[in-house]
Amino acid sequence: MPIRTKLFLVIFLTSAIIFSLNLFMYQKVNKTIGEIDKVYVSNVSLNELSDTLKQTHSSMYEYLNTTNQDSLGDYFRMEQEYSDLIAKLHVGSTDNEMLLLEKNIRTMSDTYLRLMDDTLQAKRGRNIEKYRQGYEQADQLFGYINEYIYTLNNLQFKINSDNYQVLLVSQRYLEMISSVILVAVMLVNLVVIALWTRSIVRPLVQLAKTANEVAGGNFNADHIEVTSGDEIGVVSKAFNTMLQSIRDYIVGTKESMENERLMKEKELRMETHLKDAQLRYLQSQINPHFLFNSLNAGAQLAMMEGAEKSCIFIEKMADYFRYNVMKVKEDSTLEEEVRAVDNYIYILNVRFSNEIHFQKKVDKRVLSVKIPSMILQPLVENSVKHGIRDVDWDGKISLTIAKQGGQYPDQC
Amino acid sequence: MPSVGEHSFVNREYNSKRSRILLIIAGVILVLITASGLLFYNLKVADFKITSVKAKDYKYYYVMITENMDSPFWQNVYSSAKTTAAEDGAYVELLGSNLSADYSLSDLMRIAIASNVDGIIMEPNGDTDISALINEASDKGIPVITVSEDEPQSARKGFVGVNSYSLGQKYASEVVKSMNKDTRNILVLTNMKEGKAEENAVFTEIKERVIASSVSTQGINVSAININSQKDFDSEEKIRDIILNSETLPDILVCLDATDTECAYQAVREYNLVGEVTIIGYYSTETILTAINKNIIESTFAVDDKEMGEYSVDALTEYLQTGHANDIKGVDITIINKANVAAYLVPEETTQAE
Repeated sequence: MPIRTKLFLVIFLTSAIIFSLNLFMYQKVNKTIGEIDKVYVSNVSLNELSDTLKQTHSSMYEYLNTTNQDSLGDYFRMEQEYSDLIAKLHVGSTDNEMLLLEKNIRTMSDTYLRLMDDTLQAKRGRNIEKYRQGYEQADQLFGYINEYIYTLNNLQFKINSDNYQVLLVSQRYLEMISSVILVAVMLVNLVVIALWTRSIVRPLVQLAKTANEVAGGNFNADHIEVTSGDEIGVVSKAFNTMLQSIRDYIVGTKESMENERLMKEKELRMETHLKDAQLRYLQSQINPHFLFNSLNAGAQLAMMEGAEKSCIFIEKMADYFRYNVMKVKEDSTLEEEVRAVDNYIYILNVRFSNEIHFQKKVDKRVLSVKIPSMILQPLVENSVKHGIRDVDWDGKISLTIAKQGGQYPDQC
Repeated sequence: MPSVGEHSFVNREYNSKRSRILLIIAGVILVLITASGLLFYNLKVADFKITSVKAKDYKYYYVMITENMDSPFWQNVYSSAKTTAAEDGAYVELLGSNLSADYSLSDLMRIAIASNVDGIIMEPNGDTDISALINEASDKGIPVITVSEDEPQSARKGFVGVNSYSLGQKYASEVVKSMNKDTRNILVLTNMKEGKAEENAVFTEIKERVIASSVSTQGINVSAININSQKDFDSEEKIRDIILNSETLPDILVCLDATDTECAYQAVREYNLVGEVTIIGYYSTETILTAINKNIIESTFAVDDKEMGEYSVDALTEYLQTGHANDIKGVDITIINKANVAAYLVPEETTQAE
């Protein structure tokens, strides 16, 4: 159910309940007032009855007294009016005091009006004695009727007063009870509204909480429970779908990154393989055995020709290169390294006519230590290249091999 | 574990079910509160219902006319008449009881005639115009039944009451019983105009019987004084005078009226003359019965007021239905003295309590 409909329903239903309750109360009040109203209405007509009777009587008196035709007209008019009024009164015998009074007023009035007519006829017939007597009797009756009307009026007033008291008290009760009911309805409404709005707001709060969690980086937050079919339910569902999509996306991204990494690794490995192949190709092109055999042949030739120095030079050069080529892939001992340095210095001194003064101080006990090959010779080569070349004074290179801490290899 | 869709579906079902239950509970609470409130209101209001016009219709409408409508005797007669009439489909009104004006018997008769009632039950007071009014009513087709007192010369259709002759006899025998050798003066208090036959009947009966029985011829004086108890305070003053005056103070005082009896009793008690005067009363009010119990009043005559009411209504109904009624209908008289007063005291008290 959409929130709009929900809110509309809540407001409409609660208002409807309060409205119908009010309606109900008003109806009760109106009913009570209506009942009392009936009695008041009859009271009003009694006053009218009394007034009309008085006017009828006085107009007859006027006519009898003065033979005024206007009064006679008045009399007929009032008589008609009075007849109409008394026709509305109760007629049957009953045990109800008020109705009995009404009945008696009616019959007495009938007698009174008949007597008045007789009196009128007597007056017209100039029967003085009869009309005087008739009027006297009518006057007496007039007094009785008035007394009856007065009594009925009093009785009605008394009943009305009692009824008014009843109405007042019942009204007070009604007020009290309707207040209590209204308050109760209000409280129940409040509870219903509170519960309903909670059902609206709770998923929102849950949504916000989960959204914050996701914003904080936790893409593994639980899915929101969709408990309502309203707009929040729609938003919650959309959020859940979004969360699921993000998770799927992250998983996809991770997979593609892994793939890329693997590809790169493969590429690098391929490159290494290529370089390796190139190196092998180059090495195979050099063919060191051929070179060393040639140099040995040169050395033997120099020996046969008696050129001892050349022979030694070529031998040392052959040793140097052999070491260089053969020891590239394997470790060597310190002793071999020192020998390689000696060979290198010899070759340089041949080249540069003993310009290089090389001194070495070697602790013979460490000569058997294994080290990666070709690490001493580059040091000496660098000191020659960058240290003593192009200097005006005699270049001096000293190599010291000593042990600092630890144990000697033969002691291991 | 259910999938997200299933889960939310289950939840939604649960949620809508819960909110429906919530709605129903709220509705039930509201209905309960409203219903109990209205129930409470109805319970509270039920006690003071609005006086509405409720009436039972009757075939006949009778009126009862008496000048002593407030006396317990007439109240009893009226209530008995009303009950009997209701059984016959007639309603009896004690005419004038609800009017503020204090109308005379003649006025009430005129009202009854002008109101064209179906029947009149009345107690004549001896006034001359009453007879004429009874005749007028009769001319207009309204039957009149006289009760307690009679107007035999009028056109009344019947009389219900005590037979004066037998009442006189009973009084006489009571008087004779109370007499002793010192009895000299016997005074009868009548409450009708002198010269009326009815009063004479009681008085002469007493007089004859007393003189006949007084063998010792001690010179007993039997006299009568008329007291009009219908005039306010009149009887009280007159009786007080009689009792206070040692010359007129009788040995036996005979009262033919409830008010006279009570006045005599009060006067005797007030002036401490208990034992000096023997009072023979009339009717059985609580005061009179108490006085008998205390030996202040010797005895009294109880008229069956219930019977009186019944007979008067029966007479009217009979007349309306058949065109004639019993001319005279006697009502029982019982004598109440110290011996049987207890039996009357209790029911009298309960009647009062009601």
